[in-house]
Amino acid sequence: MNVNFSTNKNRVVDIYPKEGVSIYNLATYDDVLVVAEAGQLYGQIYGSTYARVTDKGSPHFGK
Amino acid sequence: MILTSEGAPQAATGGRVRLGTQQPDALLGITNTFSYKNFNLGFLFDARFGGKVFSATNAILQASGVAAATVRNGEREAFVVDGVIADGAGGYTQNTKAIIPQRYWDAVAGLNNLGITEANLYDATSVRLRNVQLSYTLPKRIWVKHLSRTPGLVLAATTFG
Repeated sequence: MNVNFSTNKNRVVDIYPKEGVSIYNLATYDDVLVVAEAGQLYGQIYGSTYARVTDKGSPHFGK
Repeated sequence: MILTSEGAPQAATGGRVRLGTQQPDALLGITNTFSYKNFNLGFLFDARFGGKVFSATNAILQASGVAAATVRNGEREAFVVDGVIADGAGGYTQNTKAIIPQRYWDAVAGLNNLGITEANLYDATSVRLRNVQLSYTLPKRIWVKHLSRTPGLVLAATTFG
């Protein structure tokens, strides 16, 4: 029996703070972006979401 | 969900949102082999935990109406999406309008090229049986007699997944 296990921990520390760059596009197509972003794991996926009720006072909140 | 006035889902305004990471938290692989007489059985399990994956393939199949998800109970009947519709005065009313699947999937997956990203973002966790191999080593008395130039002979069946 042969078992291998690995964990993945990484963090983007900075991109180019001197010029205020904290996010860098790795790949983009339409609304889908994959980025390197300061403070996050490398390879964050950005994209569009469903419109939802964000007003906490609304009885439909969360919908 | 806040739906359009016809009762179809729509994308939130205000730009793109961070939805998750591509990367797994952990990877695991297990191989093992068992022997019984001349038989050998081996396998490989491969697992990935955590991370997200966006499927453009699914979005395109849904938008063109060939994905299984576009057919409900074997039919393409109109249905009411669970959500609310803006009443124009800052409030919302529960949706009661039925729409046909074509309109629904057009709204979800047909927006631009890839639809609403969130709709086709999946958990990338998976456990796969990648490989199974069953082999049989021919008894010496057979290969020594008939195939003596072969140093050892194994019949093997392998599958990959």
